[in-house]
Amino acid sequence: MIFSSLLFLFRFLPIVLVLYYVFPRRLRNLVLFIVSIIFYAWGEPVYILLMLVSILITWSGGLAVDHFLRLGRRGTAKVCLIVSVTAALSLLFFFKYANFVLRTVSSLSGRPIKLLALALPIGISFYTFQTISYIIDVYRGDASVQRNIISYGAYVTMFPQLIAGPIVQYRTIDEQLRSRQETAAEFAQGVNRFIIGLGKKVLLANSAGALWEGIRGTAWQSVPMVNAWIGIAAFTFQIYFDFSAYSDMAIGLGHMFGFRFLENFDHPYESKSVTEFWRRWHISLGTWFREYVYIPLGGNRRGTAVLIRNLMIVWLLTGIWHGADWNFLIWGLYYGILLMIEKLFLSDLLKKLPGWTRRIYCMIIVMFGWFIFSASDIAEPIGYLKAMFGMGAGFAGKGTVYLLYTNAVLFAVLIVGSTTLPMRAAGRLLDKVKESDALCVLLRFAFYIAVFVLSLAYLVDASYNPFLYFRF
Amino acid sequence: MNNRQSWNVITLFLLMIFGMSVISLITPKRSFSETENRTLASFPEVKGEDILSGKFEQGYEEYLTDQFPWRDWWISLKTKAEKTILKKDIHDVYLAKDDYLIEKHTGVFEADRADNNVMALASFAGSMSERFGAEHTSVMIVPNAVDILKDKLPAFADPYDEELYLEKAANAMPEGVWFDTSAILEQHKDEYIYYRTDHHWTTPAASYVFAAWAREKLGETIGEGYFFSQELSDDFQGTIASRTGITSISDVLTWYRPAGSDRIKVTYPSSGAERDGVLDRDKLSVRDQYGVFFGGNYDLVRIETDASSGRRLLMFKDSYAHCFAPMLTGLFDRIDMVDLRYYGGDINELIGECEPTDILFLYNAAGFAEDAGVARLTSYEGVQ
Repeated sequence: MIFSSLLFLFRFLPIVLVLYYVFPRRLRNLVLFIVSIIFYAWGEPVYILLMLVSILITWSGGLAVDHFLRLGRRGTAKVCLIVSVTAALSLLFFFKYANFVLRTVSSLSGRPIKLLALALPIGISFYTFQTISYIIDVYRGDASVQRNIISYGAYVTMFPQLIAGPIVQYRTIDEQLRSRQETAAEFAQGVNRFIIGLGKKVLLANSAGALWEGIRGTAWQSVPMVNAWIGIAAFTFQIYFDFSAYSDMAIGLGHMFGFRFLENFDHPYESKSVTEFWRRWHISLGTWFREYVYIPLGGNRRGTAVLIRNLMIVWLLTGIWHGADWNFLIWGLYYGILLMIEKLFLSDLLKKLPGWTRRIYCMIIVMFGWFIFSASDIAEPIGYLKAMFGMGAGFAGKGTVYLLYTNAVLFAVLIVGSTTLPMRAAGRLLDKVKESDALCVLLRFAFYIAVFVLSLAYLVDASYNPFLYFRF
Repeated sequence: MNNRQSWNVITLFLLMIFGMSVISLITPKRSFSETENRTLASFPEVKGEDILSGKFEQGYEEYLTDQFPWRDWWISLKTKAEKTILKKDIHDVYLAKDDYLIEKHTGVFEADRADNNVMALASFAGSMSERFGAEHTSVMIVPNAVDILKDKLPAFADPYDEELYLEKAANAMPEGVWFDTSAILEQHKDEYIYYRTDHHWTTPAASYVFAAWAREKLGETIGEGYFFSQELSDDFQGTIASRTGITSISDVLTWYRPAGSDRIKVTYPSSGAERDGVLDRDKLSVRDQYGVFFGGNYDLVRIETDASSGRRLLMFKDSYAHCFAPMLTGLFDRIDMVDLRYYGGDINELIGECEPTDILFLYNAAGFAEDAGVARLTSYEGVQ
């Protein structure tokens, strides 16, 4: 089930809100656990079992780790940690990467190998990473063990973040799972965040996506250079607005149930370097890799050679996390190398340049990155690449002008929308009228109703409402 | 947000989601959308295996979307929003000048089927031409509005050039059977030759082509007095209007027939139904009024006239032929119209049964390129 659907808005969410609030506090984790399983099962019932197995393994792993830590047997605790993390990763590997390995072996050896008839379980990369974060946090003493399997199950399956993140680190909501206070202020904040997310996804991301879909569907020989870049720009905005919208909606829904998830996106397209971009893009994933892979490997404290090795490991993993295909590996490698170059010398150089040139530098790298990222969706990626360098249908054509003027307003909204400007403007406006409750409420109502009604119009005329993270 | 504001916001949100939920639960369900001219999804059957495979869930979501209250209003709101931000095409339809809605047909002519259909038709037309003579075999593939009404497209719009496809088709056909309709329509492009809200050509457009074809292929001169014409509707809103949710534009639907003859019997062999005359006037009170001609699409329609010309026509066609066929009734004793999308019978037997003197293929370009039935022509015994 996806948030931006009539099913979620007018069937699932109302029922869940009623159930959650009619039950007493001690049963609310159970309510969340059960409705999350239904949320997940909708359309993919079989894989609930896999998720429950994964929960069971890591929950008991956590108990074992805690048990041996209490006995002072750190070594045995470590074995338990390794066993349960390996088990969780094996499930991820089998369901997500086995066919990729088989395909690679088959194409290298030239012998056809029968692939496994497996569909990728949705959200498996997200929840596997959450379960791993739990065991490691327990092992490190950053979080206390969760003896209640219901609460642990609620943490892993919690529907707001189950299928598209953010990847919640266990220790950040350990306390909230045990006792949390749902308040009106927080619920209202959640509404605000959810509606913003809904609008970003349905109105902005889907419109940008439809544009990209049209361009990438055209034979590359008839795509002029400018059109090719408009296409990539459209995808650049689609993935940002789509992904950050899911996080907005997740964070908003979290608030409605009294949870505070950490921010996942911080206006990444305003970054002035690739390093900064990755600090502001999908923050929960970056944090996860930093805390559970990069730093344990020694980070940047053990000399340049180890730093390079660590960066490459982390970025190849980051790449392949996004999908079991070569282009994701290349995409990860691309960022690994760029970040290394920035770390080694480029950032010092960049600092001397004016801000706007650094922003352009960053955006070109990011856009080209998105081309690599989306390559598996393009019929002929090499052809598209040629078109991006003017080898398709020249520099621009009649259709270019058409694309530009019919999408100018959309792009203006997308560009402004990806900066902090709207947030600051809204803040200033609300600050100006803060003396009058009525005026504040009126402004908020106008905004929420407009976004909600327009989003509904776009959802009912559902021609294009994709879920982009089925590969993650 | 202070506490009072928070409660206000929460109330609004709950009203919105619970309100719409309740309204959507109590709104009576519809089985058919007049506006979109299609059957709407109904509540899916609850079956264990369907739930496990996800089929039920998918069906339920379609049901929910199709049955959402005020569906037409939401769709037209979206179109208005798109127009406001200067979008010039919606659902592959150009919002063109003079209130025209013109389909783009993106990708239709680049698909493999487009080329395969040309090849299938070319070899079949070759066999027909050998059997009945090139002068008795005609292939008309009529360009769509996007080609002829180029001047009306939004500035700088750059759709696929249908003439490329038509040229390819013309070159593939055997000598003497291709009948070029583009040039004729081009001469009349400033007239009302395509509907503003529908994907068909208008009856006057068909009459220009008919007159030219009759002169060239049959040696008949169609003068001013040949036709009797009548306006059937002035509030016709066709398929493109439905697709975009635009309801502010209407078309005029007219009917042309030979002035003399009016005694026409139409039969539908697969059901045995019969009708006097070509019109099904009941269709004027439904959304898709184009169905007034012959009642819509059927696999095989037989028209018997009192023309006493000794000519019999077998026509392979799509719905572009529906406003064209009535004009033929003055020149042919019998006309058999086959729609290959629906016709499942044997083409060899059909030819034997109809004993035609003339063969006509009449399609619109996009419809022809997309037609899944054209491949059936290869089942003709003269074609390998």
